[in-house]
Amino acid sequence: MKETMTAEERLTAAISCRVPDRVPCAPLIESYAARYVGITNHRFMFDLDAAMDAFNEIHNDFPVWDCNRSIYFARYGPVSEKIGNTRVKMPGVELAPDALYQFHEYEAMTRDDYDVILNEGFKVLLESFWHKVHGSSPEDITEAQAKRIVVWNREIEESKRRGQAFLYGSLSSLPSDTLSMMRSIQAFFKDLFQIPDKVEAALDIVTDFLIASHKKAIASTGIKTAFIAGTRCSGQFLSKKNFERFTWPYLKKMVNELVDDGNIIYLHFDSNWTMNLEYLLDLPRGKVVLECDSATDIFKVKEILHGHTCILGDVPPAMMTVGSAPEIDDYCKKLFQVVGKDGGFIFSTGCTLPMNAKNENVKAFFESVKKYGWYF
Amino acid sequence: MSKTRQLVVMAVVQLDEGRVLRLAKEALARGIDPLVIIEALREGVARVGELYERGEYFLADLIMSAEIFKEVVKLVLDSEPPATVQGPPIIFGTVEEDIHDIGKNIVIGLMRCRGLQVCDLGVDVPAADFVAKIQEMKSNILCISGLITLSYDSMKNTVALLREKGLRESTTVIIGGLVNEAVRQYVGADYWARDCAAGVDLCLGILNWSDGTVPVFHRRTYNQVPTV
Repeated sequence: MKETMTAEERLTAAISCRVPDRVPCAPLIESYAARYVGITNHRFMFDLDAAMDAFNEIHNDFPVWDCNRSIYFARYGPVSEKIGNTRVKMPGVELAPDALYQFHEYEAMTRDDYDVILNEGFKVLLESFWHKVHGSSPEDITEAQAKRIVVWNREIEESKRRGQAFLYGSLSSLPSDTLSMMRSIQAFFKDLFQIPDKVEAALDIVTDFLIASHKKAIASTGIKTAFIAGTRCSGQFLSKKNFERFTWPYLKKMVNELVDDGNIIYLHFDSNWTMNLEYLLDLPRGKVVLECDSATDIFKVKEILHGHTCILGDVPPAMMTVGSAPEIDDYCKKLFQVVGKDGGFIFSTGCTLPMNAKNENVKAFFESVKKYGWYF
Repeated sequence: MSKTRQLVVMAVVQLDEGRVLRLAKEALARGIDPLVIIEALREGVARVGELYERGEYFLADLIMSAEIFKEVVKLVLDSEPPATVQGPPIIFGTVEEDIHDIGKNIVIGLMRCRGLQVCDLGVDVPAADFVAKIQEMKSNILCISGLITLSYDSMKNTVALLREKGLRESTTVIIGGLVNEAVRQYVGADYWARDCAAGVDLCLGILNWSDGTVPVFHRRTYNQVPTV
């Protein structure tokens, strides 16, 4: 089989639920990259050149990787240590040099802070939150934001040079997830029960802030796409009633406004969204990609959203770690044959490719594109 | 008291913390034994668990019921709530190299609501610390959790150390977090649970089983595999 489309053309066809020459291949690879090339994760997270070299080496070994869905620009040590949405523990700083970065969530935003959002705006709260959890000064924040754009643009440039499409031009979580991470999950759920009106009023403000942030980032990166992450306000966590009150209206508003602006939306939905899938039919057709992390039933997603929403996923991280290459091959084959049928599919890992994935499994993952990923 | 008890149970089921606190204060003022109030709370939390199991309530509801329990216990008792299940505590922690604790804390909160004694060792816990605590407390249930795949090797090392110290046969090992049957086999644990409520039911079932009663395994989200 021979490729007849560029990575961009292939991706565009899949997103619009059409059939490309083959399925685009877009693993989330940054957790795995350092160990694959033999550097410490500390170096990978803090040394931009080393990280870019690692991506180059992986692409060199697996050129079928044609779509780079990296969010390294947001995880890059000097950025996430200053403007991350939760406190982060980094390899070689708080953790061992070769550890995986991890988030340490606690109740850093108080219940009184809702009043700050309502009276002074979300930007004021966010900056005081960064000061509280990271010790960031206003200068630190400005510097980290500038660094993030530099790293982001470098990633875009390197991806283009390799012939890859780069997926994300802006990034945030859902408004409800954003507040949940800042408040901590237990405290936020308690707020939903005890001060629902105030949470709603805050979510209105946060939503507008996030939409504006996406538009600003898209203007800087020139990539007309928005990555929107959602984990803790799905049907796994919230009743239908609470989902319809605290998740869906804000999700819908973000997607519609950003699509109206000519953008494509990547809904990076970790946790189990199976019972919320029908809602997505109310979003614009051919403008949204649903990224599944293997907790949502991707085969059910195909049944419900095929022809309407592009599906991305979802080789499970546990399988990449403790499974065998033949198991990976079987699972990937099923993904291509069932979820990939008649287009609208981007092949990927379920959320991230784990740091300790077996190399033979990663090889089987990439090989499967060449074996089963062709349409023509 | 039976009416107050019913009202407390109902208010917990409705997840109305303000009402539960008010009822508890009124009951205390009338000289009712705090432990009786705690029992009513436990019944309420258990009913929330049943609604969760039937798919009528969700994780946020479970968390809220455990939060109510915690707040009311603070109000009516000076100490930790007494365990209703006798025996040594369950040893619980996030394994070495992993600092995630949201799921762990939710499960421990629910376990305490249901009358289980839990010794929480925190996060990033070395295998040797789990084993030392099991020896010290003479525990026979170990719950180890992890959200990143690096945790699998730490879980495996913990089970290996238990075996090395001759404690494996007497200890039921449950893994939780980002786990499944393949991970359970890799680690060498007895059970796995991804669902918070299922993990609590599983421990209750195992403890009842140890007491000679028939285990009640009625959830489908964990696997029952005999210790090898």
